[in-house]
Amino acid sequence: MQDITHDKPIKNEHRFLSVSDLKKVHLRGETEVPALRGVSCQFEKGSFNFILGPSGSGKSSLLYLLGALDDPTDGEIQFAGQSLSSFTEDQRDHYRREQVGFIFQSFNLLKTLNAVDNVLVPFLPQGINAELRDRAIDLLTQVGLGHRLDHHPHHLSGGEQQRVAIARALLKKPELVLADEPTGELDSESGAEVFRYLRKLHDEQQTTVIVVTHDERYLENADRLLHLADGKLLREEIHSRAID
Amino acid sequence: MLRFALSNLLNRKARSILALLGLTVAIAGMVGLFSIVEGLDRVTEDTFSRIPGILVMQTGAPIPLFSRLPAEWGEDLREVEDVKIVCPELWVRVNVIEGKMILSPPRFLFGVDIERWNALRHALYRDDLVEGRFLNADDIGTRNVVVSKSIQDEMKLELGEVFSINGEDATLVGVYETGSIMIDVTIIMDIGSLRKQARFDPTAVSAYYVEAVDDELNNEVIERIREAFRGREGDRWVPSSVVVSPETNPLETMIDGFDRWLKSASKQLTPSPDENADSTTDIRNEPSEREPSSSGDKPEIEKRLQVDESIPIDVQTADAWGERFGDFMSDLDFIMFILTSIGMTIAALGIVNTMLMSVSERIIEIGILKANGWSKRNVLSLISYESGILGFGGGCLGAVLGWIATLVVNANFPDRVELYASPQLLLFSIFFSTILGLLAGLYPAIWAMRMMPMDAIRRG
Repeated sequence: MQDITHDKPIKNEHRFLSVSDLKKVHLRGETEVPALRGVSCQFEKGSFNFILGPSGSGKSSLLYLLGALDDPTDGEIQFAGQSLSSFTEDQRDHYRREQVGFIFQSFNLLKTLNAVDNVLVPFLPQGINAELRDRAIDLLTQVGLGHRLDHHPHHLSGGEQQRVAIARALLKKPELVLADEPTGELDSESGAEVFRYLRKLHDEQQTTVIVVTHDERYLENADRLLHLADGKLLREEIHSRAID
Repeated sequence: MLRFALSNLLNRKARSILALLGLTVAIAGMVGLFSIVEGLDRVTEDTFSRIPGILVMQTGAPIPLFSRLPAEWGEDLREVEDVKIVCPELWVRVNVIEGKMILSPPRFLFGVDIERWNALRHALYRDDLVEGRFLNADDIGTRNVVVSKSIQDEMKLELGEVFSINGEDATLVGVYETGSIMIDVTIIMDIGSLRKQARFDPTAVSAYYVEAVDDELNNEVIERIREAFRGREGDRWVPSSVVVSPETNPLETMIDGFDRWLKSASKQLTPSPDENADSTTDIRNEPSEREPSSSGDKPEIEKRLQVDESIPIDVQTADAWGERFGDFMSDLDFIMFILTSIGMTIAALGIVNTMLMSVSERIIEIGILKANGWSKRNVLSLISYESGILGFGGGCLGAVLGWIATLVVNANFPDRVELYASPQLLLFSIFFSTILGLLAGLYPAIWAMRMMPMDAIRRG
């Protein structure tokens, strides 16, 4: 049985990621399709957050805007006190490369690279040193893929591919991990396993995690929940599970 | 990054191989075409570097075979200051050897004043002897001959063997080999014997070879000869006229016709020297509207190319002959450039197509790379690496293939062509192909670079 608590405001000094009146309109040909209609919210450093809502509620749009993968139509996102809109092209690249780790629903691994090189993808242009490679191997070992290092994506199961994606997102020791339906293409067991590794690494690295999902099975106590519908934030709350 | 680019290409084997093959064929074609020019260049250089003296021919005659000069002019040439030796030459086309018609490669009988030829400091053929002996005083009045190694091999001749040339018996006493396909077509024999055999006009010779007391004095001697003959009456060589031989040989008439055709073809590229055949102009004395020569950096040669209608003979050193060839080959270079450009354009479009398809297939992948912090420059580099690898690979394969083709052609037609793909040409081909690959990949790379990460992921 599940009990939802009411919204609890984040104190200013803990605010890490702040969203103000964010709007996003997608263009489908000449038709404007509003995805976000003025969302405002905050995320605390080191918190584990879920963005929940039905399909088309704007969850993924919000996530991609937080990761600077897309530009908002209006509104502002502040990361560590700095507006993402003010970032230069280089700063945005740096933000994505150094501070944000992405996990996608369809894993999005590069099929020409093995597991280790997929984890190292963010750093390929800069060149890979032994330390980075060791860290990639260590992360893959931590997510239970120590024996699959040389395997290419088509030789890995869905759950294994998503664990490679988690290792890729965490290699850079990001301050923020954004996961878009990370268990959307996995069975229950694999999904639970992915969340187990994600939470373990979150605990170890104290990374802020924001997960977009409509599957509430993986919520745990103290997770922060944001409910979206029709591009608007309905409510924010802290999750707690009642003890029988 | 390079390894990543390579693995991307290997992952799309069929498409990469097709693009690679397209470029390989184009580059091999380029190497092949330019090896013709380089081969001609090399043959010309080899040939003329072996002739350090001065050639005196009838004005307008393209080669000594078509030249006719009065025999008594030899004495006048000998009187020119600093002239050491004047060798009269007779040149006659060989039509039949041992009953076999000779068409291609052509063969020529070269009648030489043996004693004077042997007195030269540098004597072509004599200095290139590889077997037997060169002609000496004992051969005067005989039909003893020296042939090139290629003629010996073709006719399977042994030293001392008697064989027929143009229906007359000749005895092989020596074999020479210069390595030049322009020179190794000659059969050398005594001038008197050849004159008798060919019933050559006794008052004429084909040309004169003049050696100065010192090679350094060649330019001065040329000027003195020109001055000595200025204003003298003399026949000009006219392409349509039949050679001065008492008998009209149909084959020579045919060759003459071919020569005229060749000249009219080359006239399309550059004004031909024999345009002035009806005037008393030196063959190299081009009309004023002539295109600037590629040899413009050699004033002494330019000077000799100037119009002077008052001199009935054509006097020049081998380097001037080489310059005339250089003019022709610069035009040939241009034709090769056009042909190569067509091949290159097709190959470049192949790469553009390959890379565009490759990029459009990988829109999600590019979105993922950008989501992971890859900058526009990084994406541009990756695509450029891939197209550059295709260009480099195609260049290497094409250069090797083209080079092997030149060796095969040279081995199979040693007497007819000499193709030469220099290391510089091969390196340039690889460099050019790589640049072409990079340029062809630029448009797809810029297209990929400009995509927003989310657009790329959504479009995929």
